[in-house]
Order: sequence, then structure tokens, then C-alpha cells
Amino acid sequence: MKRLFFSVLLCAAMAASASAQLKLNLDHLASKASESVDITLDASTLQLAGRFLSAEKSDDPKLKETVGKLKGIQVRTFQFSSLGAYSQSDLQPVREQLKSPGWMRILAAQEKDEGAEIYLRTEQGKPAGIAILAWEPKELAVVHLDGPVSLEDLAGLGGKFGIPNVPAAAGGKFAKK
Amino acid sequence: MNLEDQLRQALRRRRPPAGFEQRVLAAVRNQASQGQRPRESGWARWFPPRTWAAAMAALAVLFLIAGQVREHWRQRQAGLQAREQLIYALELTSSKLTYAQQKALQQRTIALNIREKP
Amino acid sequence: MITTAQSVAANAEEQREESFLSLIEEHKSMVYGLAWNSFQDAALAEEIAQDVFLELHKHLERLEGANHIKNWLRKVTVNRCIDHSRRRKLRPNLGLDDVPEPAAAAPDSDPLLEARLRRMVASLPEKLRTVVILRYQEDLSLEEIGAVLGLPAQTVKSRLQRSLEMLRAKLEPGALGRER
Repeated sequence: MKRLFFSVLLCAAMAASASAQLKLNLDHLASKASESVDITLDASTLQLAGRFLSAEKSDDPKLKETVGKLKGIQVRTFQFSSLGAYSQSDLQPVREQLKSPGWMRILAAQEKDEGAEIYLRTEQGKPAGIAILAWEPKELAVVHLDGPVSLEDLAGLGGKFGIPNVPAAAGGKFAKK
Repeated sequence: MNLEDQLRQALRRRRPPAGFEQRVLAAVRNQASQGQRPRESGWARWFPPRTWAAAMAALAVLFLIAGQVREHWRQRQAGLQAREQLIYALELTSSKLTYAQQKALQQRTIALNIREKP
Repeated sequence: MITTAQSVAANAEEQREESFLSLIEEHKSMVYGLAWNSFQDAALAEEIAQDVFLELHKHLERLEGANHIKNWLRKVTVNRCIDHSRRRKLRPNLGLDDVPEPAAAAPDSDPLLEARLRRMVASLPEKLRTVVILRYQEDLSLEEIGAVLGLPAQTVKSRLQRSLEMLRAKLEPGALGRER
């Protein structure tokens, strides 16, 4: 019995760690898009980038601190010249992964054919990752940040290199403290 | 005897000391043995082995240093590129986060407006 | 085991050496004499003579006939002597003790007079001294001396005349013991 328990625990742990890497199989959309962005930065690349962040005196210490928490970044954005180039079914494989243990949707907003969802992953009650899905009629974006970075950390980056500040009036989790 | 005859007597030929022929032959054989030594080629004459070795060692060091410098610049380029990509990724993340928040805000406003309508 | 080719080569080398040895014996007095009469220095004379024969050994294949060899030896020896005299500015060895044995005995020789004449000849300027030695040691004609030194016969004649005038003046009665 104990052996079975530990096996289940091991599988859960493996599943939890596996869910840290999202499989963003959206390459089929790139061929339809007029413009697309595909950025994948693993831990070693982030470490390298972080060294050069320290070298650049203009970089904010907060940025370095936030980047230091990251284990990986995945960004996929697509801009289409015509309507109907993509559908919500293209995002379904991603949503399925975000249903894995540890992931929780904390925001879902939709109006007609525009919308956004924010997912948080936690491990032992602590932040472990963030996923963002955002869509517009002619634009689609998926972002995944792996690591103990919080929404407050991201909010703290506002106002730097053109990143708009999250309005304090919104209240709640995004407000800059 | 006139002067010219006297000069002929005074300046007659002289025998070299005994053994002169043997000494000449010995010198000839010595010269011949030196000639048989393998002559260095043009390159070896100007660049003896020791100089070659030193030159090759110096070249090896230069190559090593050049390689390290090249690697340093390659890493620097890679690092700067990674930094640019990171910043761009964070810009996009932040903009999408803002977009999501604005969408949530719009929905909340609409919901509030609907609730407040008489 | 020595091959036929090796034995042939060894024989050829041996013959060559014998021929060369006979050349040395034939011409050593001439070569050594020219050098000794120029400087009256036995060690220098042997040094020059050895150099000349080493050169002969190198150029032997290019020389044809006895006369060619003899003239060649004479010319090379004279040139070596001229080089040495210009480089070293030698003072002649005036002592009688180091006089080498003459190649041929001379009747009624007067050693003292001969020594004095040799000293007088050695004290002549190099251009005159060479002409005198070639004329009276080798008994060459004016043209032959001109061929060795690369000079016209007339120049050789005038230099010879000048030399004899200088020597006679030193040998004037009353001039004995007072050498200028």
C-alpha cells in the first residue's frame, strides 16, 4: 500500500513538472499569418541574457530580479491580414494542457471575438508559472513564463522599455503597489 | 755579376718546409669532408629547427588566444542577442497582460452598467 | 663486401690524389717562393701556398695542360700576395735565420748580398715588388708579366726600370750598410 502511495506521488510530481513545459504546437498558424513572433528562451539562454542585463547599467534592478526568477519564456504571436484565419479550436490543445494539476485560470474575459485568459501555476502554494492567452479578430498571442514569477513581478516591469503601466485603478492583483 | 743576375740568385724559388704536400692533402681531405655534410636547404639555413619550433609555438599561442577572443566575442554577441530577445518577450508579455486586464476591466464595467440600469 | 662500382670509384679517387700530389711537388717551389719573396715570412708563405693549392684542387677539372696550370698557379699566388699585402701591411722579415732552402743551388752565391737584395726588394712598393719577383724568380718576359698582372707590357717595362733604378741607387758604393 505504501509502495502504491509513493508511486502515485511520484507520478503526480512528474506530471507537475511536465506541465511546466507547454507544448505550443501553433506552427500551422505561422503559414497563414502576415507576421509572427516565435521566442523560446530556456534557462541557459536566460542566464546568459541575465549576465548582459547586469552589464547594461541602464537596466533596472527590478528587471534583473524578475529575470532571475525565470526558468523559461515562450511567446507566440500571430497577425493575420484577413478575418477567420484562426479559430478557438487552434487554442484548444493549449487549454487542455492548462487544465493539468497545478494550473488555475484566474482571469477569463471575452467580448465578441476578442478575449483574454490568464492562468497561474503553483507548486506547494507558491507561484511557479504564468500563461496568457490573448486574441483579437486578426491577432492571436500565447505567452508562457516558467518559474516562481508572480503577476506583481510583471506589473513591476511597467513603464520600462515602453511597457505600459498596469493602471492602479483596476485594483486587485495587477495593481502596482 | 750585374744586378739582374744578383736579383735572380737572391729571388730564386724556395722549397716549402718538409711535409708541405701532406699538409696540403690533409687540408684537401678536410675540405672534402666538410663539403659532404648535408647542406641545409634554404629554408633550414634561414630558419633553423629551433627557430621553427619557437615560431610554431608562438603561432599556436596566437591561435589559442585568437580562438579565445573569437569565443568571447561570439558569447558576447549571443548574450546581447539573448538580452534583446528577452526584453522583447517581456514587452510582449506585459502588453498582453495589460490587454487581458483591460478586457477584464471592460467586462466588469459592462456588468456594473447592466446591474445599475434601472 | 665492396662492389665493383665502389672499387672503381676508390681507384679513381686514389689516382686523382696522386695526380694532385705530383702537381704539388712540381709547383710548390714556385708558389711558395713567390709568397716568401714577397713577405719573407715562412709561416705566411706556407699559408698562402696551401690556400693556392686548395684552390687548385677545386678548379683542377677546369684547367687544361701543364702550361695552363702553371700560369693559373702563378696568377692566383700573385693575387693572394697582393691581397695580403694590402690587408696586412706587412713589414718584411729582414733576418737571415729564417731563409728557406733555395730550390736550386746557385754558384758563387753571396748570402749576405742576397739577403740584402731580398730586403731591398721586399721594401719596394707592392706594384714594383711584384714585377721584380715575377721577372727574376720566374724569369718571365714583359708580356708574360703583363698577362699575369693584367697590365700592358709597356707598363711592366717602366715599372721594372724604376725598380732597378731604385735598387741600384741603394747598392751604390758607399751605400753599403746604409739602406734607404
